[in-house]
Amino acid sequence: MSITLEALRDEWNDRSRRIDERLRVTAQMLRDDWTERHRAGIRKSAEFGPFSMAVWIAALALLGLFMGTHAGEPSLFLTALAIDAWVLATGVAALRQKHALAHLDYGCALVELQARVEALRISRIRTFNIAFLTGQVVWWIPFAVVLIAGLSGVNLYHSAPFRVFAAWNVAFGVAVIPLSVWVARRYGERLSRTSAMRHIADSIAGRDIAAAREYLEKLRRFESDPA
Amino acid sequence: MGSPEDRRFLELLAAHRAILHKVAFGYCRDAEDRRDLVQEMAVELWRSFPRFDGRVKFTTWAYRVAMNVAISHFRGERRRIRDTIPFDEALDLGAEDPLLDAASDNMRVLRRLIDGLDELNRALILLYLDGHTSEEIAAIIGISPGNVTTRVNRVKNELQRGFARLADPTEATA
Repeated sequence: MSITLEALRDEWNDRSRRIDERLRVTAQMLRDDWTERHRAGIRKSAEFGPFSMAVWIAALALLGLFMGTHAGEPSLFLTALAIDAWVLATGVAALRQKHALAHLDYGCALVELQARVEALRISRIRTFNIAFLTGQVVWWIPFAVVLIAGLSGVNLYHSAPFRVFAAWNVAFGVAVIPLSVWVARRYGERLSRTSAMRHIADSIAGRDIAAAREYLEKLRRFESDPA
Repeated sequence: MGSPEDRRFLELLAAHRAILHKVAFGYCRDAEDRRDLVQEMAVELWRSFPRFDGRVKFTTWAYRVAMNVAISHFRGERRRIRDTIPFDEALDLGAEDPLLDAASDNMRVLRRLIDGLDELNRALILLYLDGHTSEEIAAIIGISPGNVTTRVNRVKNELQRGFARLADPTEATA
């Protein structure tokens, strides 16, 4: 084929010109209420929005109340404190992500903005991994203990068989952390039948972080002058 | 009535919204996805508009925003906002479709070859095809003009070889 890219560039420009003309004809369609209609949409699409924030604050308040009323019972107080620390840390991490995402300047040059987006992606994956893996421990026995004590006033730690059961469960929960990482790395692709499962497996196995680092490296290579 | 700032933004968007359609065309083959993408770009332009300080031309800034949104969309990073943003007749979202459908065979081949490029080289070649200088492309992408020239030449050669291969497969393997 004898055609050159310069000749195609002319054809491309001609088509661009026609698109410009076509759109100019309908320019008056952009009305004053456009910004108002989209303001509401953006608010609704925000991560960690008002509902999540309300749930987070309510959880912190309830746990705070529980700790206040059980200050004299160290076993319950410390158990609630562990959950509270988890809720507080994951909430703060989500708020920091929200703040960083809201302040991303899409008007930056491409390589700069894409590098920031990728760095945020790495931070988000790390936060998810830590929250997901430590959540295995916090949201089982400690949560059950606090819930039952809060609702019925019964302290499960007073039962010797429960203490043994709880100790084994917490130990199992801790052991599950490295085990989950190993299973996700070794069998993640085979076990993940849905995209959500695959996403979790890739995240836990560190494949997502590796891919994000690779992309950052690609951006750095693109930025540096080629030899 | 919107604020004076909103009105100024709408005037600029109306005057330059072809940029959004052209960038979306470069990153999305499917017409419906392209419309979503144009919509996302317009919303991001408006959201980022308070940060536009005039240090670069509005068109340079608009290209940056549109391409950043397109690349993030392309890489699956951006949250889809289709469900929360009403369908936008005001952006005339299907306007470019008949023009794109009427493209020549050469343009279709070019489009296929561009689809095979990664997102950064795609940005380079789209800007080159749109008639931007190396300096303008450098300002949009954030690399040096010399880097732009070298990389554009590489991509041009790659596309040229792609054309030759598609025209005569035996020539490419000879």
